Amino acid sequence: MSELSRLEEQIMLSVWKLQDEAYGISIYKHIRNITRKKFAIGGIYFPLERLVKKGLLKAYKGEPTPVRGGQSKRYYNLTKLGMKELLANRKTQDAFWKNLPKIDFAGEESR
Amino acid sequence: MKDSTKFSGVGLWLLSRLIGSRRNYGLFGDIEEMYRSVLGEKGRFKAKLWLWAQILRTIPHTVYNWLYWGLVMFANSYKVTIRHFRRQKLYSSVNLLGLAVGMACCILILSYVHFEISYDKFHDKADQIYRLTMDGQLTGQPFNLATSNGAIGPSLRDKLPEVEDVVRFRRKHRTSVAYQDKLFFEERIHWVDASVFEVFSFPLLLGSPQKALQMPYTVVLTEECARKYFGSDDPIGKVLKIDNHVDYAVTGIMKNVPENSHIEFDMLLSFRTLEVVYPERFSRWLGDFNNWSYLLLREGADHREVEEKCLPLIDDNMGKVIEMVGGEVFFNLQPLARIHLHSNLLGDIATRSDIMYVYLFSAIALFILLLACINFMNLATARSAERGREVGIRKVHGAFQGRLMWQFLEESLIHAFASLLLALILVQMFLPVFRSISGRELTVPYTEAGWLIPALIGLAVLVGLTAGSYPSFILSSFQPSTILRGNPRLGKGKGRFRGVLVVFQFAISTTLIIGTGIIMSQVQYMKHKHLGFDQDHLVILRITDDRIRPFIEPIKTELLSLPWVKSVGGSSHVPGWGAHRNAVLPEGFSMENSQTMGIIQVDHDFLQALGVEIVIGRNFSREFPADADKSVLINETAARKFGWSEPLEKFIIELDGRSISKRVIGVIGDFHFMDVRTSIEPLMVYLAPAEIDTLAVRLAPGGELTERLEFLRRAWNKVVPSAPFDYFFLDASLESQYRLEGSLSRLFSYFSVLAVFIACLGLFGMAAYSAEQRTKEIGIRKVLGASSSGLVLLLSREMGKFILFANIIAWPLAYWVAGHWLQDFAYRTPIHFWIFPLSAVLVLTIGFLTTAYQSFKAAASDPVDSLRYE
Repeated sequence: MSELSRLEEQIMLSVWKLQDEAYGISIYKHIRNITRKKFAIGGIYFPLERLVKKGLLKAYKGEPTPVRGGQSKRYYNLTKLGMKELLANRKTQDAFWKNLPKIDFAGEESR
Repeated sequence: MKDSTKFSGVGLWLLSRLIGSRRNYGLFGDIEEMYRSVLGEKGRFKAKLWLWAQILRTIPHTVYNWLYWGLVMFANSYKVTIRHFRRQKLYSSVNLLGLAVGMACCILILSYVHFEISYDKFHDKADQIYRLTMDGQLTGQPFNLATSNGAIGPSLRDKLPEVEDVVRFRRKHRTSVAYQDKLFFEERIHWVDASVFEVFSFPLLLGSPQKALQMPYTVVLTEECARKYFGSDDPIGKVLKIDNHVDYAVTGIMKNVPENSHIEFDMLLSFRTLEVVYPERFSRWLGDFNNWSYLLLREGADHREVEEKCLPLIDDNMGKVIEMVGGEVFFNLQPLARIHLHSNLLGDIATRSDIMYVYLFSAIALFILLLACINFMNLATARSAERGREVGIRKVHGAFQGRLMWQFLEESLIHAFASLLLALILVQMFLPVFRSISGRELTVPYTEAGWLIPALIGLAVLVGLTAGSYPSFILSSFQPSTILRGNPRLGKGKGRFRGVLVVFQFAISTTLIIGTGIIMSQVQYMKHKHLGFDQDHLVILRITDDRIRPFIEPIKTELLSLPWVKSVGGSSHVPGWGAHRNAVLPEGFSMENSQTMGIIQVDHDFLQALGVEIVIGRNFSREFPADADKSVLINETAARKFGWSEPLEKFIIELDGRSISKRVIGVIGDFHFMDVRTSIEPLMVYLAPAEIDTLAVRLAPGGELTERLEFLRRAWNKVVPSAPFDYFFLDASLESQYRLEGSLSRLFSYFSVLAVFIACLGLFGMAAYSAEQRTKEIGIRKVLGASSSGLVLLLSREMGKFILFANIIAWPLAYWVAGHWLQDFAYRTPIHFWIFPLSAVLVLTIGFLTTAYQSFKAAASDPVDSLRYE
């Protein structure tokens, strides 16, 4: 299994956080609120579907609503495999962060 | 839900196109939801703006993706194409070459057609320029003249407000022009009005367009002609000696006349000169009709109205004479651009072409292109049957049908464009050849005709897509399991269609072959027709200067002292030049039905030198002094036309103002004094030493020609040392009359070779295809004891059938078209029937040779292999 990309990780964490309310817009807004970066909503659909294909997320249909022009929402849930991936990811991250030595940036200012 | 209906339109449609489809994971629902929230917060305008921003932002990425993957897959298609090409070198190159030849041929013919229709369009005022022509009938004889009287143009300009200006051209026949020690004979020389440079767009390089030809005795030369006389010296003000004794000052140098001008010349003399020398000739609307008048009409003037307005003027100026002779005369204004292709008048200024040839060649170009395209599609389709297994494998590996369709289309497009490229190379290679065949300085009008390149690309795309459509749509739709299990019968039912195409192709090529044969035999017929005189071993010397004429008798004596000169005779015209024409009154005819006939003025020895037969009576003789002005010889046609069974002693009065009556002393055999294409007209010949322009020198056969010419020149110079010695050979000059037919027959033979070639490609493809389809059948036949030769026959039989069918169509078609073409000739070859079976045999042989390879291969193959096939 390949490593998760940065965006994939953010999406999965958002899905986790949003629980039963995780669908396109809410995921997009959540990520935007936290990262404070502007990006097109279109950007999250392909990673989402890729994750579903990999089996890390599970998708299901909601009820059609009038505000969406009669189309149903597509909700996402974390799968067991997805949870495992996230944790493994975290572990790797932590391992990299552990015991990093202090760096003296004094020289940089004098340059 | 009023609002929900609003959420649709171009934007969303575009988005769905860009992304893929509407089944997109709730994306469209999400978009709509967000759109509505923006709508609620910030209003309709902002919401729309937001939506469009979202849509536009997806475009770069989509385009990038599309291009990237498109290229990746195209690279694959390209690779596959090359591999297939290598695997089937023969078929592929034959296919490629066929289309390329067809396209190249079409481009070449197009450039010919483009050139022909571009005639005279380069003049800025082309659509305001008209040529004054005349038609009507006089003494019951209809006429249609390109020329007119020199006085008419200027008086129309003065009397009609619509006529802004007039330019008169008058040909000066072959003229000697000398500058210091340089002497040339100019063939393309005209007298012309000073307005020529303002009416026509012949740009002057040196000199003033208004003044260049205003004064008498001034001359303007083309750039090329000036270089011949003056080298790099400044030509302005230099003096040329014309006709050996008249000085003309150079007042201007013009650019060379474009190839596509119907008026051709190297040198222009001022018309004013003529008006000064012969003032009486241009004072009346009568007499001399040897000028071409071009009128410049005011912008917006209707030439039909001008024609109407001419009627009373004709009445005023010519009415009396017309009434006296009996008849009517009309003026026509012929648009400049129509002269080259749409005019068929007596005495045109230059050899013209005919719109019929433009249509004919366009049709041939289209046919050849059509044949080539059909072939290309046919061969591509037939060959694609082998690709079934590839499709199966690709499908098993997960290729979508859409992708496969593209692959085949791309492959076919690659082929089509490679052909186009090859065609352009072929065009460059064969342009010089085509130039010499067509006798025209052709260029391919890539830039002049802006539509040409887009049209070629469009054609390649069209041919590529059509050729690729069968494998693309049919082949890609097969179930992999069906294809991989066995060989599905691909392209079944297309066999008949393909047969029809082959028949069509061979019908066209056979027609072209027969056409070529008939044109060639007509050319041969004209060349070898007995002209009524002996055209070989005849040198014509020209009397270029009035001052030579008194010395004609001494020159003749001097020439006759050479042992191999058999006779020398002078005349006003030599065969091929035609004759004067005048109204005459033969005995027994009244003024109301006077006749027109040709007149050639000769000396005592001309008929003998030319070798014309005297049928009845006698030739002119010095023993009869009355012959000098009271005797005439007529030709057989004249005797027949006047209904004279006893022509001797009859009288003929020439209505030339002097009305001298002459007595017929003999009848000469008909000979072609005009163009060989036209029928022989009534002719009379009488003595008039003052009118002699040529000396016909009859040589004994054999001997070294250049050496003899040198002797002739010396003899000439002995009598008239200062006069230029100007000669030509009669047979060569007559030969040049058939140039048009000659180049036509050459073009036709090339086109028929091409058409046969392309048709053979089609046949080849079909033979290959059917041999392959029948592999199993052949195997079984062999096992059951069929002989190889029997199998070859079996496989060739189909081809033979097609070609026979094609001949059934081609024979009447060719007979009809050729018969039509021959109508234009007064003396035409009979259509030899043997040409038809001969061309059939020719095509059959070629067809058999084309299929033989396939048939022999199939017949010689081991049945074990063919039955194991699949």
